[in-house]
Amino acid sequence: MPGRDDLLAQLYRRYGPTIYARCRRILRDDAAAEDATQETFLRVLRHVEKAPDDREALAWIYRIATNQCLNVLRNARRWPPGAEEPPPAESPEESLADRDFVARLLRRAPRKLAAVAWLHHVDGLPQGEVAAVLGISRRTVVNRLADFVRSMRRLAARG
Amino acid sequence: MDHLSSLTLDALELGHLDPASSEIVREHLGACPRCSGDLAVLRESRARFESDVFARTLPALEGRRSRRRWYWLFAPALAATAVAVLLVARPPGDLTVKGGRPACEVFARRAGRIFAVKDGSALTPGDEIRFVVRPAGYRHVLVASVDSAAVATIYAPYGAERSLKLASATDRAELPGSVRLDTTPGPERLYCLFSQRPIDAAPVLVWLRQIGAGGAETLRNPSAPTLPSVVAVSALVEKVVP
Repeated sequence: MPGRDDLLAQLYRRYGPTIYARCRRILRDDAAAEDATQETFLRVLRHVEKAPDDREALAWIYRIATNQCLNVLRNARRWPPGAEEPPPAESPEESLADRDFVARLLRRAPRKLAAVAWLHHVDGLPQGEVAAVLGISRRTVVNRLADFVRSMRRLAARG
Repeated sequence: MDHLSSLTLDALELGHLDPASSEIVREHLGACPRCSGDLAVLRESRARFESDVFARTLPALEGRRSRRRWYWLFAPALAATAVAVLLVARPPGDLTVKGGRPACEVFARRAGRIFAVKDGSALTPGDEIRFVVRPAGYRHVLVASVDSAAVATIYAPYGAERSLKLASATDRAELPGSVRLDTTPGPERLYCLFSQRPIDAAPVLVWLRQIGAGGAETLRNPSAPTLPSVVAVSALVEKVVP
């Protein structure tokens, strides 16, 4: 017997809340989060349709939503107020403990470092989880985090 | 004190954590204002999506997916069949067709893989198929099929008594819903029937059963004229049991 299926709506209901919460957390703008949620969902869908697995879907959501939202922020130049504020010259590493401060700094970080830095410093993922989410080696994560700190030092030196 | 990562909080909300991990996380949440605050924000966003965003954005999402995910081929494989049927059909006199003849394209999903269905394609029971139409000026469409057992079915709108009125007579549109093929082996002919006015499903089903009664070879080489005031595009699929 033929049957009907509305898989899209089912998957959107299942994964949409996680994606939307993720986008809203990064973008801090409800309308922008809705747009980014749709974009992210359509990309996540390509993967979960092939291999539906909730744990894997969460990793895809983190990878795709993080890159999507950071690109939105970068392209739209909509970073929160204070984004131009440089890190303190004396101890830029200490400011890494301030999630909001790191989030603002990411606009000035090289693009390839931004997702790693966000996941580790803002989201609090251990290096191994960052590597798993982004599909890169832990060594690459370590190197990019070190590059991010060096980038911050350069910013601090320039004031 | 280490804090919970956002990934851990999402996993908690999705029920991905094992019982022991969940217990540790909940204990931490009970003692850590920062993490419990993060969880509250997460839950507020999730609730907002479920109560407001989901229903409001789903139609737009379906539209975007229609344009992107079910990537349309313009039915070159159906051309021979389409021309043959169009030649015997007589479009209504008041119709001004712009942008060529109407077309209907079929996509199938099998084990998560999406592929275009060409005329004569082999499909297997359980394959899910969807339809996208280019109405080229027509306002109504009905998608139906008949198999070698002379079983006729209305596929879109599924099981409906009348044709579907399209939102636009010119834009390509993915028809809602997918159809899972049954286990009857052999040829099955799919018809997209375009019309300017609504058409009833009952005479279509009678017509299709007559075609199906001719057997497999008739389905592969139909010669019956189409219905009045209807432009038909058809494609043959061969259902094979692996």
